[in-house]
Amino acid sequence: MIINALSLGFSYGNGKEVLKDVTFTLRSESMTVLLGRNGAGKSTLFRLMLKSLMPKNGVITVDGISLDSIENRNLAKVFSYIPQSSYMEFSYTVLDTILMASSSRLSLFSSPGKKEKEEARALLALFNIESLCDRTMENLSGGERQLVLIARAMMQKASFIILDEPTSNLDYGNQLMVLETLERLNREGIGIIYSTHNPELALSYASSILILDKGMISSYDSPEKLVESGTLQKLYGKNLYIDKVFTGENERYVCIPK
Amino acid sequence: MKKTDERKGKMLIFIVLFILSILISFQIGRYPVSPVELVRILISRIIPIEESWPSQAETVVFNIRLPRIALSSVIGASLALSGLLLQQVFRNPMASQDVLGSASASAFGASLALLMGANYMMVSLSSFLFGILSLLLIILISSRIRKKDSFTLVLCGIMVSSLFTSATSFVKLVADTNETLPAITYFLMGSLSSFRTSDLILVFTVTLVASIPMILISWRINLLSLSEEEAISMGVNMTRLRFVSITASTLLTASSVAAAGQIGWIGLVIPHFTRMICGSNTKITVPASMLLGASFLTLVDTLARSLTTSEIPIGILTSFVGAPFFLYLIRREANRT
Repeated sequence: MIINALSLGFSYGNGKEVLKDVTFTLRSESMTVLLGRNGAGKSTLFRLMLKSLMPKNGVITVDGISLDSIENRNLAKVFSYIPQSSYMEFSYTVLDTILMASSSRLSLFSSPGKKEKEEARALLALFNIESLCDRTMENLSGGERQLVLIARAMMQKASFIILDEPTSNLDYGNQLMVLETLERLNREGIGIIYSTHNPELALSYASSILILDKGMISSYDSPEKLVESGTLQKLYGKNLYIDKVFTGENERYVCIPK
Repeated sequence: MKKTDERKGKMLIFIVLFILSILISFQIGRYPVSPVELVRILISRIIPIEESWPSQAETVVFNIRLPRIALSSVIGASLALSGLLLQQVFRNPMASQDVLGSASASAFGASLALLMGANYMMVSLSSFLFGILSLLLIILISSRIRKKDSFTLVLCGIMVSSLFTSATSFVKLVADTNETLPAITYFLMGSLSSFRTSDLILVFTVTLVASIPMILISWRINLLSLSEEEAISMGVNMTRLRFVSITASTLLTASSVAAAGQIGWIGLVIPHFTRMICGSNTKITVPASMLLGASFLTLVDTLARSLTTSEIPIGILTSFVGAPFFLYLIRREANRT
């Protein structure tokens, strides 16, 4: 599946342009990181992709079909979404939370049955968290919560998972665990798009990095090329030492201020 | 599997509680009916048996207590479901008809219609329209406030409630002091004593029309707890779901207010108790809240008509339960944030 954004522009009520002439292509085999400073327009871009906001200019297409002409129910097969904080006021169990993602497959008056429940349990088993099934979401640790939300996104069976800062509020171990899980899902053919403020993790867990600066794309390239061009130094206005490290299995990056 | 059985067991408890509350309510009152007498009277309508009870007992059971129990059950169920829907729509455990001011608005609509000498149908309609108006007002105000926590919503509700309470005071001010004013005042206190059969049929019809679709989509009501983006990405039409839920909730409150006046706090307290017992899944909490609401109001109404020689307006008794519970919720929310 290919997502194309062409000359996207968006501004909120105050008239200030949040996104300007944003053009990019995403493929379901890629793991793309959205990097940018606070207020660069990352969350707005996600909201445009989810059709929760409409662009002032430009268009987003899914395999050549405009997002406008795709019904919400069908859009659920394209993108699943994990917000930065998915706090539900009422304490749902892990199983109930995952089953919510089956809504697009069910008719108006039906509810998840045996088949959906088995599917949800299988997803929990996939992430080795089947013991959490009957626990309530508010009683989970940050890392467990994020894994449950990833399982919920998987339940939706969408081609892409969009994650808004999935590693914020997590300890370092859980950050790595979440990103390794996403990397694994990407290898299995699910497109991953996530935003982060951590350049080291962005470089280490991405096939391409899209940098948004003041609402415009300042760079969209592979981690290697981004390091070579010194784009990160320009983005943050800091002198950074960035190097690639071979861990034996993978290539990871270190990013230290000079 | 274990969890599903547990939920079914809890639903059974709610059903048993409802049946018990009905049986208790049938027996208690100024004319007591013994359990054996009650069972025989009820069975006599199905199987012809020898009449061993005084004819007054049969009159009390079928002509006085049965319609009253039916009304208290329907109104209790309506108010509880209405409150639950509002809590889901506003994603806020402190939302209810009383807190958001929609009960005051519905009461104002009903008082205004009473002032004009309208019939039950018009009282219901006016109550519904003002109820909807108040919720639109709340949505409009909260959409312009960035901080959307429980307390902001409560403050908006206080404002809306105060507006409509003042409007009701004005209606009372201009009402005829001999006839309309006492009728409006007693009506506002909430009571199930002055119902007519036509009211009963209408309130039943409205409750069925509003609650059956909600029971059918009870699982989908869970999705209102999601954020806008999460719901859209799951293919949920949030605007439609919210609209249907708010309309049903307001219809349920309006028909209850028009039939029995302002009976407060059930919409806040009952959904909370239900969630405490069976969790948050609305597939369970929708029918469970309705059953618990029906049981609660039936029992409170039994107290209202039997505690003292003259009947106590039921709204007074529900407030005794609701107001302390609201304080408990405020304390819990404050400690959480």
